[in-house]
Amino acid sequence: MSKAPLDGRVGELSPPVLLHADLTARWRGVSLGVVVLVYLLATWGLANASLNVQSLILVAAVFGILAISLDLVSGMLGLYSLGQGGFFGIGAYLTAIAVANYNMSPFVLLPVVIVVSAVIGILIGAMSLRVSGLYFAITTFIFTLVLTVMETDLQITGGTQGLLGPAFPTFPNRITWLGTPVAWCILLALLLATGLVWNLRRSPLYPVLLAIRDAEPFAEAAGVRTSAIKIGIFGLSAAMAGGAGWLFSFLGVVSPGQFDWSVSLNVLVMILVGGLNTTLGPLIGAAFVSMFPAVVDINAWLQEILYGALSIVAVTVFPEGVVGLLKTRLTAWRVIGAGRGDAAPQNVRAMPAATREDSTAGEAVAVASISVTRLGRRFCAMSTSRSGAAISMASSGQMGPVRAPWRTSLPVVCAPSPVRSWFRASGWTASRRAGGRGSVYGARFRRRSSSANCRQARMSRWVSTRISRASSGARRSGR
Amino acid sequence: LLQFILSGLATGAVYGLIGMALAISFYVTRVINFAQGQIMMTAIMITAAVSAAGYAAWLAVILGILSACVIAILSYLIAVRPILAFDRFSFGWLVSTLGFAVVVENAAAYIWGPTSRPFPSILNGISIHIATAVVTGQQVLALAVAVILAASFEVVRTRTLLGKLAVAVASDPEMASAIGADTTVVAIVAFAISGLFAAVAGILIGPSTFANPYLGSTYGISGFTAMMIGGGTEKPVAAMYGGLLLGILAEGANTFIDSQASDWFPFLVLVVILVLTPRGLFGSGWLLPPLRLPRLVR
Repeated sequence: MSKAPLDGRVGELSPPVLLHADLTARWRGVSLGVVVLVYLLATWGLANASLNVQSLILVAAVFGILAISLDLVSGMLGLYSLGQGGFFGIGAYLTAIAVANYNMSPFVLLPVVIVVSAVIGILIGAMSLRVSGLYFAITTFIFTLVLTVMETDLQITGGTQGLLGPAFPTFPNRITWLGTPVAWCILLALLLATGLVWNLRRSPLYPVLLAIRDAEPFAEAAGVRTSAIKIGIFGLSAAMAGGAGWLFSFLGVVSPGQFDWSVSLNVLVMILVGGLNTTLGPLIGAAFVSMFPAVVDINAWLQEILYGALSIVAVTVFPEGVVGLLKTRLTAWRVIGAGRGDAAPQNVRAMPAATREDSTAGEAVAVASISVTRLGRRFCAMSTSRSGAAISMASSGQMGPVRAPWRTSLPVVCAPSPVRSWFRASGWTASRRAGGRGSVYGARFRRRSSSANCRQARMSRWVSTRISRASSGARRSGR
Repeated sequence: LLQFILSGLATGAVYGLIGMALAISFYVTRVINFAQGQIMMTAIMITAAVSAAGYAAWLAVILGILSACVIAILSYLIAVRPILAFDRFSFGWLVSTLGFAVVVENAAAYIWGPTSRPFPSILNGISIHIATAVVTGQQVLALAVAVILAASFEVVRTRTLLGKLAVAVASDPEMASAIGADTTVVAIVAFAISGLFAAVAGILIGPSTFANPYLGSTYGISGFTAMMIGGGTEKPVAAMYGGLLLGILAEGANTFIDSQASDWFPFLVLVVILVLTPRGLFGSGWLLPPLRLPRLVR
């Protein structure tokens, strides 16, 4: 087994980068702790705040969880599900009905709700992933339509009036100073959901997901079982949406209008406004969308007109969302500030080489994907056509479809030893301001501390046992 | 039986027209215009407003149709074009067309108020007896207009340069523009035609529903269902077949199951159809082989 060509290149960079990374890793741990502490304090404050403020923030937080669950499939996998409102409704109705009719404890119900939504999600996913792209959105849209109709017409769901949601159990006497229990429950769930996605974004599975999103045929050729992963992630997202529904049922009435297709679309508005595939974006979007009617207090029709106009402006003027916009600006600024980084082009050239050698040797271990955001038309050895229809890599001679012209990514089968060669190139940005003609000015490479690397190695093994076969074993799913 | 088939066909023709309107804009730009129902509603509201102001019905109808075309073109320029220009494969249009629908609907409610207003009863007063069934003149008109529009659209699509240009733009905009097609113009024409179809659908149902700013979303969903049942995403005219089928199914469900069954029965059928054939019944020649029309233009 030859040493991966990638290792050498990254290794040359490593000493200063590693030192820097160690420092930042320590700081990151500290700042993470501070953030969580502040969050808990804020939760305590909110749990003791007035009911108006509470309901405003809690509804926003539940929609935040919903938006995170959608971002999981849309941002990371590129599957624009419009079924989120449906799963949300399943969770809420299941809780309301089971508590009202069978007097079950909400905490017993939570796992039931999660499992049921996950199973339905997997079924719907398996059914609608036979078709891709737009048709996926349409099938999930119809799923939501059907559920809304059922909720309206069935006896047990109480028709258009809906059901009164169950009451949340109260705290025992000794800890009543904590405030409203439902506020704690919802905000901790939000923290949990954010943490889950944040962790997923740092796991070895993440590049695999991006590879599926941006160049599915490549990923499949590299041995990724794309349909199994897609269905699994969709099930996870459905389970999260169901859990959000469980939380939502404690906030008042559960009625069909709260879970119809417009809710699914509103969740999409949230993640697109906030920023697709970002940790904070869905939360910002959810806060914007759900608080908008309460904060902007004008004539109801004018308010709706303003909301519609703002969402059009948001997606047309800032297609990357608020967080995406900030990120691009920051990266551009940092690249200029860093004196036009010099290491990037070497490593970029190294990628196709790694692809070629490792894939012919059949030693695919993990699949990484380099996302190149908003480059100009030419990028080292490869050239993207403006239509994004084809990308040719001159050095390896591979051709394949790539989805988006401005967000091109190459899945790269990388490295027999994922521990040392693990890297992530984030934010290769050629900003127009930085010089314009689409050349690459800099890239940031991150390396993790050794404990993070060990964890990564474990995860890599876990992923590789599940995902990867040699490329000869790649199986085409029926698409 | 004849009664419900005939009235089903008449409602179905309207669903089919809205479905075709969705399908026409879809097949050129690959975008589902969620504002289509609201565009139809605009035609109804403008017609009602103009005729309420004392002008003749035909003038009102023409103005209604024109305004719907203008709104449809605006929806393309405002909500679709900027997004496709940034990233042709982006799904941002899901949000922006819905935002456009929200703006149009609430603007109409703000201007004309949320209550129903009278609509000129074009041919609704005439009743025609066919064997045991009674249909209104409006229903006959709906069916006739739908058939004429669908057929002429199909001729334009398959037999003229504009139709072929649209197919080219749909399959690869870059290539089409490289050989000299102006993709923007083709898309604007497609949206204008889709606005025309939606507006005609609106004029056809107006006499029975009256003018209400919230008509848009119900009929938009019905049109969408019609398109999906038929498979209009592959071929616009299939949406018309789907609409006719949907109309008969809805009327049949109302007659034979119970009076509210048309709320859920079509969706059940839709789910079954999508499980069996995800591209719709008539879209890919699964049920009907493609029509062989004689060649008009060489």
